[in-house]
Amino acid sequence: MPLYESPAVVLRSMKLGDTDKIITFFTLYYGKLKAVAKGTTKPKSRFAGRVEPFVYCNMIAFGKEKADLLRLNSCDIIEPFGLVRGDFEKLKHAFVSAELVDICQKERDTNMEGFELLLAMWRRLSVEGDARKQDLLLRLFELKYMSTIGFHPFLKSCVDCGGDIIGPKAGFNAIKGGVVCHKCITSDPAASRVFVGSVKLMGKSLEMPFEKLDRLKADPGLQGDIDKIVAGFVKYHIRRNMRSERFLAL
Amino acid sequence: MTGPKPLSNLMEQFQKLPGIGRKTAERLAFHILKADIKDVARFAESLRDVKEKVSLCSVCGSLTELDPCAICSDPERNKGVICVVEEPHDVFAVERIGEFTGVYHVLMGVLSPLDGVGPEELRIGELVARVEKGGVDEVIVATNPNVEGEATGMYIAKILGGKNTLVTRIARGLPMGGDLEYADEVTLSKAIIGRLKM
Ligand SMILES: [Zn+2]
Ligand SMILES: [Zn+2]
Repeated sequence: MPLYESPAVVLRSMKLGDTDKIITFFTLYYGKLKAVAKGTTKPKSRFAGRVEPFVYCNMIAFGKEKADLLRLNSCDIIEPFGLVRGDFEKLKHAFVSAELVDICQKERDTNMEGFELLLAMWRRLSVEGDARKQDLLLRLFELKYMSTIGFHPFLKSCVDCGGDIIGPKAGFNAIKGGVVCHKCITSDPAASRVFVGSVKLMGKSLEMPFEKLDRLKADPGLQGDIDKIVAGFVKYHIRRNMRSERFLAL
Repeated sequence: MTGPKPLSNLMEQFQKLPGIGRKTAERLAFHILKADIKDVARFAESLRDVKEKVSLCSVCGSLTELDPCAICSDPERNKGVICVVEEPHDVFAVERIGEFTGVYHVLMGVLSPLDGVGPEELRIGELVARVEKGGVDEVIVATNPNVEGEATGMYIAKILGGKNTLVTRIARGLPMGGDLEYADEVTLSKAIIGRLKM
């Protein structure tokens, strides 16, 4: 029986029967994998805290080549991300990032860039105490993650006419997947009006490593735009509302 | 399966129960068939009774025959301390220790962002109302020590903040009889953070 061994993060953990759990891992080498962790809810389980969401670990699982559900053999923690789990504000943001990856990531479809991105996001979130910055980090993570699965917004020139984007206001059309110039916006009712600065900031963030994103400064106006643009862009591509999204307002 | 219709109906009903497969359902149905009619009548009666006579306490949400429940209406219990648990069966678990003298509040679940379970789906509003009525000195959050249980606890602490009620969380750490060496890092770190003076 094939063995799956990989660095992995736990995206979610679901009870199965009285004492088992189904763990959804996002692994570095195999993409998303699901595995049953036997006896997890018993106090003396060797898995217990190891298979909680947002744990970064080295997992080993067994299963047939095409099995939907593997059997978890071991799980050794690399980084527990306790600072994320121990803070309600950080936790809410982590849940949204995990749900997005869970929805978008196909099983056994490797996405190493997305994996590193998620880790980078949780590391940054661990030490970010400012609620507004946490929101921005999450949106920029979503934007960059969508790009790793092929949904890359077009931000350089107008998606309608190809013209330059000149300020102060432009538009963003989630369906066309990009920015609309100040001239075309009047004839594009689907585009939402945003500051050109917001589009530029998003463009920059797509070219920067996640670790350096905190250099980017967004005033409340730009942040409001980015919130709206990214949420719309994600929703259009995943074709549903994310369940964890409403928790951000709690 | 062929055979008498009542027998296959019974098997079908057993099979709907959690953890019971076709084989076990068959065994149970044949057991009933062979059992004394009085025992079977008592069994049928208790099935109906549990649905008809057991309901949720309107105060704390635990399972009861009378409303409010025996714990809520007991003058000896300290109404100033509320222990918050996820499910009605958690009340039994805490009661079994025989050391807790306060009262309970059953949430009927926990916050679960990925399953779309928010505060509105739980009995959190009822908890806030109990606290706002006054006389509650302490709310002990005894949800399960997993990410949803912790999130629920932190949310309760947040919304009860500033209401002059102490919100505490049950200690999380190593199971008795366990070995430190085999503890996972998440549990061990909680045990160290929650250490007590000796
Ligand atoms: Zn244009
Ligand atoms: Zn009661």
